[in-house]
Amino acid sequence: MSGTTVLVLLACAGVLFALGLWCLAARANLVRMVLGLELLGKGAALVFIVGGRGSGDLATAQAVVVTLIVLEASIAAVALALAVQAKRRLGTLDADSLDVPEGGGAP
Amino acid sequence: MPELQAILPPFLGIAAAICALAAVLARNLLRAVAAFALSSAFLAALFFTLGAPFAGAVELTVGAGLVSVLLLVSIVLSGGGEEAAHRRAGGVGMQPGKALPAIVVATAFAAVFAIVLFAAVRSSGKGGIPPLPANPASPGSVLWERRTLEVLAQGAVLLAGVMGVLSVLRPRHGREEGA
Repeated sequence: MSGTTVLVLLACAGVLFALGLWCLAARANLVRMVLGLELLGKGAALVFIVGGRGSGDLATAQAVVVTLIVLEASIAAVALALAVQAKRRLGTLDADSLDVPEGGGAP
Repeated sequence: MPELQAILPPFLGIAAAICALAAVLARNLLRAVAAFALSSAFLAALFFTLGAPFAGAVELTVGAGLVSVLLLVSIVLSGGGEEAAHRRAGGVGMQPGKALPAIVVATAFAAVFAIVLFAAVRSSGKGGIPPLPANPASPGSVLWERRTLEVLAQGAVLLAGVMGVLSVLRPRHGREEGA
């Protein structure tokens, strides 16, 4: 694998990470924020695999990536459950509109 | 075919990035999830071509499959409609006050990443990445022998995640009756 290929792959990882960061910071919708979090993880996973290939220890890189993917899925499940509950109780998925009154329940 | 092996990884990486961009910019949430799943599938194929089939299989089943299904289920459970902020912004769902800072932060990150990347590639010379060894270690053996604590922690986190989802989504009869 040539140096140019490595550069392109790491640039793609940077784009994935930047897109995730952008989605997480600029989006109002809770589901879209979870999607951004997943994109962040994908960029990091690609860096791990390319780095593992470069260092010759691809097995450890794969083990770390598998751990990353499993943790991401778990975090996404809990975050999406919270988003669904927010929609049910507060009637919105807009992160800026989440204003829980004292004692809970719908505002 | 050495040409195909040289072209395929950059092609798959760029395709994954383009699909991720489509997922971020899509107005419809269902289309965003479809683009996200496609991006994950391209990334899984990239992992396979880079000689990481274990990570590719997990990415394809969990990243492209499970997480996409979770996103779809949450969209359906939360009404399936597009967000109110999306309609207010009249565009792609950006928060008006946060769009510019987010673009600045993402661009700054990309610039720093590009500088570090350029320096790393330049210092490593033009040789690129060496080919894979003939008998590489198995990721399974690495996980179970060298990273046992990680495997146990993964199990604990998954269990905590399941309990968390059940706890968040369980009906609260007492509080609703009292309200």
